[in-house]
Amino acid sequence: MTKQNAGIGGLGRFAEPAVLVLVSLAEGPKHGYAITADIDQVSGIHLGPGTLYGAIARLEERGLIEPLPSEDRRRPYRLTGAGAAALRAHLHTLERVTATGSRRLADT
Amino acid sequence: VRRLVRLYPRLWRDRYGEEFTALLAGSPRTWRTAADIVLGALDAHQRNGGKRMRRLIPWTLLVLVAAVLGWLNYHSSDDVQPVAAGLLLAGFGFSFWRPRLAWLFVVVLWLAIPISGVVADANNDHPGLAKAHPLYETLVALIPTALGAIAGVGARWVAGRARA
Repeated sequence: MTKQNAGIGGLGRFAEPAVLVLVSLAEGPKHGYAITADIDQVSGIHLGPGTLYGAIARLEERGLIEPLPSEDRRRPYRLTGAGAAALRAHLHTLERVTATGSRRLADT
Repeated sequence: VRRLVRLYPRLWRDRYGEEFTALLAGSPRTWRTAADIVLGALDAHQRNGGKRMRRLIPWTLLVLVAAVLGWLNYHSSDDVQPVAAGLLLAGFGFSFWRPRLAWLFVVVLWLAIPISGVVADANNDHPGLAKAHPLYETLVALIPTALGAIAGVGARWVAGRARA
């Protein structure tokens, strides 16, 4: 049973990996290995298997991602509507923070 | 590195074990990967334990409340109103909290009455008092408990409808 939760707050040390997983799945469904490779390529961050599945379990529990039927032992995941909304909101906040930070740096 | 998967809780392995092992097949076999798996296993155990604890909370509270009601019943002589009020309120509260388990809550709360009655009889704590028949007392105790539970389930249903 999944627990619906609007956001990605309160994930502690899994917050950043969770956002990276959501960004990766925003492109389309992927299994664990493909998610790790995509995140590595996009951000230069290599997620260990324990960290990746810690994030996946939390995102799935919150209804932000969902599993698809297994393909040869590898199970792909896809972003849900709630996951897309949560990612959009998070990226919007990041954009605001980035813009404010850049402006303040320019003023110094 | 693959053997480290066994460190994860069984429930977690049932759900993610196969795909996790498939991922490990393509991961570098380094100390860093091993440490990450161990930390992940610790996290999974913590989360699993947390869920188990959360599931135990209502039952622990229920047993405590039933014990208090049993204690009240044990020490009451002819005044059963506090016990009846307690059964009614507890039945309402627990059933409102977890409506699907209402009937189990009723059984556990109600059991406090015959058990404390049997203990009081065995200890002969209230000699000389005109006591109600134990079977009668036990059956009567069902009324406030069940009424409270029905009201709790009903209130929860109304609250759910209002929220929707």
